[in-house]
Parts: sequence; C-alpha cells; structure tokens
Amino acid sequence: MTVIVANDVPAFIRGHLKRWFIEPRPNVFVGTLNVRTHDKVMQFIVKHAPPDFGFLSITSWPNCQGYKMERFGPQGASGQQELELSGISLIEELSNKSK
Amino acid sequence: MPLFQRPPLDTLTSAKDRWTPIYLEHGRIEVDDAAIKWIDSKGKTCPIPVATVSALILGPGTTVTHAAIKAAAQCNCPIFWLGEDGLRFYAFGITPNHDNSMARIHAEAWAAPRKRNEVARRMFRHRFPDVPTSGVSIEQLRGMEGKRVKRIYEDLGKHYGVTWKGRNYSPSNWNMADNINRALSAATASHYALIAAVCCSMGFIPQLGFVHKAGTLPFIYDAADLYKHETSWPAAFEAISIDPKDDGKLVRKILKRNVEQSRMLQRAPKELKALFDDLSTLQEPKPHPLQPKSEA
Repeated sequence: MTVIVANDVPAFIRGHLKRWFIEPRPNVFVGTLNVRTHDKVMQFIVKHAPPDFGFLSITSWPNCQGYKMERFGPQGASGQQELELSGISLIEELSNKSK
Repeated sequence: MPLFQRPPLDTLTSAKDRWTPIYLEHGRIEVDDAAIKWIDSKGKTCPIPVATVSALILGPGTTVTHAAIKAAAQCNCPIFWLGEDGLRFYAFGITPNHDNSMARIHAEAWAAPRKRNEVARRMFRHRFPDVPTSGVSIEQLRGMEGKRVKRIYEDLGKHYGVTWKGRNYSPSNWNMADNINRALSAATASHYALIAAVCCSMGFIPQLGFVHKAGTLPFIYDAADLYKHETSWPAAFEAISIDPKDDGKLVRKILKRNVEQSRMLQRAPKELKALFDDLSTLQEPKPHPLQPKSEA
C-alpha cells in the first residue's frame, strides 16, 4: 500500500494522482501499486509537477518497519522533517519555539 | 488519568515483529504527552514508537528521565548502554517480564549437566550443521568452534578485500585496534543489544550460559553467536571495505540490513526455544572413545 501526503496539490496533478489513488482527505492519497508501478508513477508525477510541489510517499516495504518513507520535492510548510536513526525512518517533531 | 497509562499486554508487539534497535547519542530521553521523546544536542526532537522498537541503545552523552524508563519498561522495550561509537556493551535494563515459564525451562536445562551439554551441542549444530557432535564435551566444542570461526573471519576478509590479521580485542585501548577490529566490536556490541532484547523479552536468564560461562551475560553471548556470522561479522567487513574510517554509523546501517535480510528477528525466538525442546526425553548418548565418562 502507498500513502501519499502532499503539501498542496495543484488541480491537474490531483487529477493525475486520482488515476491510481483515492483521496480520502484533501492532499492525502491512498493506493495499492506494485513496486515497479510505484516508481514509475512517482517519476511521472515529479516530472509533470511544478517545482514547488512536494510530497511524502509512504510505501509498504520488506524492511523491519514494513514501510519506507521517501520525500519528493521541497519540504512542506508544516516544517516536519524526516529523520533517520540507525536506518529507521522517523519524523522530527516541532518544538514550541520553532512553531 | 496517569501521565503514562500502562498499555494492555496484548497490544505490545512481540519480539519477532519489532523494528531493529535505535542507537542514540548526545541528547535526552523524556516523556512527553505519554510518549517517549528524543531530544538531540541540537534541539531536534523526535517521538520514538517505543512499543514497536526492539530496543533503545544509548550511546555517550545521553540522559534519560525516570518517567521515560517507566514508559519504556511498560512497553517491554529494553534499554542498553553502549560505549563511544557503539563500541562497547556496558549494561542493560531488564524489562520486568510477566511470565517466568521460559526461565524455568532454561534453569532446568542448565542445572542438569547432560541437558546442558545437549543444548551446547544444539547451539553448535545450529551454526555448523554438518559437523558430528554426539558425545562431544563443551570444552571440545569450544576448540572446534574456534577453528571454524577463524576460517570464517579469513574468508570474510578475502571476500571483502579487507586485511585481516586476527581478532584483536583490547578493551583498555581502542585506538590501538585496527579499523576492522573496531568495526567488528561496534557491530558485535549492537548485535548483543539486539539479541539481549530478544532473550530478555522471552524471559531467558542472561546469567546462565551453555557454551559461555564467564561474565554476567553468558547466555546473551551464546545466543548472539548463533547469528553473528550472518549479521554482525559481514556488516563489519562490508562497512570497512566501503569506508575504512567508518565510526560505526555505516556498520550499524549494514547490520540492520543484514538482520532484515537474514530474518534473524523473526527466526530467533523460534530457534532459541527449539534449543530446549524435548530435553527430558534425551537418550543416554554414546560416549566419545576419548572422553571421560563424567563429562558425557
């Protein structure tokens, strides 16, 4: 399964994404793609998206976590960043100061 | 509502389904909103899913609060203290286990010399299935093992193109050890933490070893030996072949990959349990012709 969390999706990209995914909440996409299709879809989206379009893709993967996390394009406005500790993907939390 | 309510036991992930351990250094572990939070020296904060991680490994410069220990213990996530660059294994905190069934089986097998020898032989056979071991004493097993282990090191050295001059373990002087020995120590220390997490969460007694005797954690060393040749040794050699100056980061990353590829975490609980299966139905073994009767 793939979950995509996009920063803000332009209308035409949303249309593209909806060919493979459902959008249960705004800017969140869920789909089931095999590994090859997943890679191709991501490349396709990145190629056709405006340069400021960024998203986080979380995909089922045979590692200990059961998923891998990849970011495409720029960081979102939320300021939350991915963090890797000992090869495990986690998400950095924002402190009150930086909010 | 208490700050951290104990999660129901059946919601805690079993050892085989947990993530590989997380190594942390220079920072602080706290409880925040009932979750465990890591704050590093630069102020980056990151919540850690402690009911899913197999262990937290604390390197130098870490502080941990009482509340955090409580939260980790309630989630059955053991905490380990490792030395600089993850090179030395100092201590670990056992999480209170809710079941002593495995400890009783373990103690029973350990207390009867014949059963103890059989478990040691099973451990040996686990790594070298083709070598006949019936009637061989633990001392003889150690000798047989030493020879084979040396060969594995040499083969790994050749395979990864790393100069191998022998295992040189000197805890008093790390800087004297060559890079590959440092990498091996780093990999092994992390590997011990992982295996200790598995053994403790299953309720084994770390103090009662079968092949290893000395020290406080001989059973952990025994259990770790079952998997080192698949995980930590190749990780150390591969890391040094890629970056001879690696400080342990790359070693741990490759170790994690090897642990995943060999499915060690999934296999270990089953295989460790199998070491103690059917010991009461043990047949009187045929003694080796060269072996005194008392050791059989």
